[in-house]
Amino acid sequence: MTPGPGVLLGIVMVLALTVSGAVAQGHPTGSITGKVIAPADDLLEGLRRGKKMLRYDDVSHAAEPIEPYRLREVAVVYVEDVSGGERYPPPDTNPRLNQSQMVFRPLVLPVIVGTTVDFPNNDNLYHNVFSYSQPREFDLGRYPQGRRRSVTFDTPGVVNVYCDIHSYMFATILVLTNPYFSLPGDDGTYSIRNLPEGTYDLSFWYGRKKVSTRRVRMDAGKTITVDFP
Amino acid sequence: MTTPTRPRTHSRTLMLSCMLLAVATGQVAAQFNIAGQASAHLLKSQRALSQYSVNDGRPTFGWRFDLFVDAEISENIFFLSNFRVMQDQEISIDLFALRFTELAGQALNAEIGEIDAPFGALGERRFPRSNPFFSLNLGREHLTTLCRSDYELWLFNNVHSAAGDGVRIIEGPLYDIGVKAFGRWGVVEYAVALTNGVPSSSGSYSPGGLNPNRGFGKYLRLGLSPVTGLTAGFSYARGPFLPSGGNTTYGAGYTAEGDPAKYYQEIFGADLEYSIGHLDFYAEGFHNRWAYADVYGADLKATGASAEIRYVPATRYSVALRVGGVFFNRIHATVYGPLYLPVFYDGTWDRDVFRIEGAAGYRIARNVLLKLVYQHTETRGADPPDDLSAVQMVVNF
Repeated sequence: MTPGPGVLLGIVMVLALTVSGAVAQGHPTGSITGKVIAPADDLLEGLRRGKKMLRYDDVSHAAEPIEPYRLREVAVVYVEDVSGGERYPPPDTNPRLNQSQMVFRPLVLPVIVGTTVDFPNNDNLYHNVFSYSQPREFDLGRYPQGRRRSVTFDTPGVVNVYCDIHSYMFATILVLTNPYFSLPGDDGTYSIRNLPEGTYDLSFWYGRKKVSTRRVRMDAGKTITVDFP
Repeated sequence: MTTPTRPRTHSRTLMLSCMLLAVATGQVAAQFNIAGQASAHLLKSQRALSQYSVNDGRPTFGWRFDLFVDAEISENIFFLSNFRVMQDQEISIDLFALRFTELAGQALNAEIGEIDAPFGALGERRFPRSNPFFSLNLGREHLTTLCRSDYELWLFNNVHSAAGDGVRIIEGPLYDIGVKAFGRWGVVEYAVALTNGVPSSSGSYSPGGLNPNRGFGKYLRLGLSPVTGLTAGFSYARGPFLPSGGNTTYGAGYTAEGDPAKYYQEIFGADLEYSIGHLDFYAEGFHNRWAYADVYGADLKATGASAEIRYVPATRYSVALRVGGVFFNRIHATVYGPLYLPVFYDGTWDRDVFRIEGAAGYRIARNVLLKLVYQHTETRGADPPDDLSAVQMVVNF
């Protein structure tokens, strides 16, 4: 029996979908999965103490509790560089670095070069967000609750963000050259899909610093497992 | 431009050393929070017989170190302290207080110990990092002709008057030993305090930190913040300033008789703070009265105000301007004249002063600030005016 045109079309479509799972923008791809274990640094405790020990400004707000951070707000696994110099488009929706409960949320925000980040103030008091990091210096000044300012990040690198009023507040914006990063779930698992084949440095960032970097070999159609630390 | 001096007490040094040792050995490090500011400066003032002349007008280097050591005792109990030392002086303990928070939500917190007395809203401006200028405003800096040691008016003795040996109207950043309750209800904030001293002579500057007066200083501050960034405040303080005991003579032959508590300082203050974007405005004014009518026929009054504006035109850069003045009332009294002979005096009991200051700042790094400051002070009846230029580097950690 000879298959009809409809059956042939179906076979072609299935094949195409299978191959497309391993090819991104014309390159064969694979995936990385794994699990991260957060370092012992108690980020929340440092922020909570800094907030509680305010001396002169906003003291009456200091006792308000800080909602614990989820792992995806303080950690990211990302590919350092993807050869080829390809430019990836920034997301259509601006990611946000919130000022809320007198802390930044998230503490770590990975973005692609060219992304505009919004900085909304959700607190009923002033913050003054600024950064003197080389990839992007800015000083947003003071603006009230419900307002936001925006900054576009055109140069890759690490941007340390602070508040000029509340010195304990900090956050890190990782300006990356590619979209191959993952925010781990609450159980620590992460996955990066459709990574073109090649050899990469895969890094784990937690809180204020890079915890570790692993060199990985990505083969087309494969899924490798990398755990941190 | 003098700095408040305090009794030399080695116990302060010992206390600080023990505290740092405890932290260094890790015994209590988990509870402690240590921060500080260190600053160094080079300044040049006018050479003049004036309290605003520094080191006879010679270019002079100097430094200041503020150490903040705080501890979290429990969820709602904290220990707060400021240690300050300048140019090899003894260590001064400005703040040494236990804070109890959330006694009734945001509405009631308390501090006991050496507290920052609630007059005005100086806040972090008392420290070099947040103060865009080199010193505080005139109302908190000017040394009057009212002598610190005996509360005599030394109008004709330059050592005590022009050069500045008298009490301040408000003692700089103003810390005192006592108890304070403070909190917030919606847009209203309040603070009340009971202290050993008064704004012009806080108990913490008295020998041994004791209360030399009969009675406490009483403080009240109310603030209103209708919108974020805008705070209008009203302050009031009153308390006796003459030391109790003894048969001290005040004025030329006048004796402060009866209850020293009737010789009190009373001061009203108002402050206004507004900030938006890269602009920051702060102003404060006061009307002060030392009840001295029994001695000089009139109370000694002083009224002053200052306003400052700070603007950040570009990331890392800031500019600031401050103007202010203090005015004194007239008295008709017999005072000590030249050669300590009594003379009848008709005029203001101190010379009115005016000041304008300009400053530029550059943040070298997040924790490093470089400031250039120019200060021009004019004293009515004195010639020439006092100019001061300073460059100051501030590091906070």
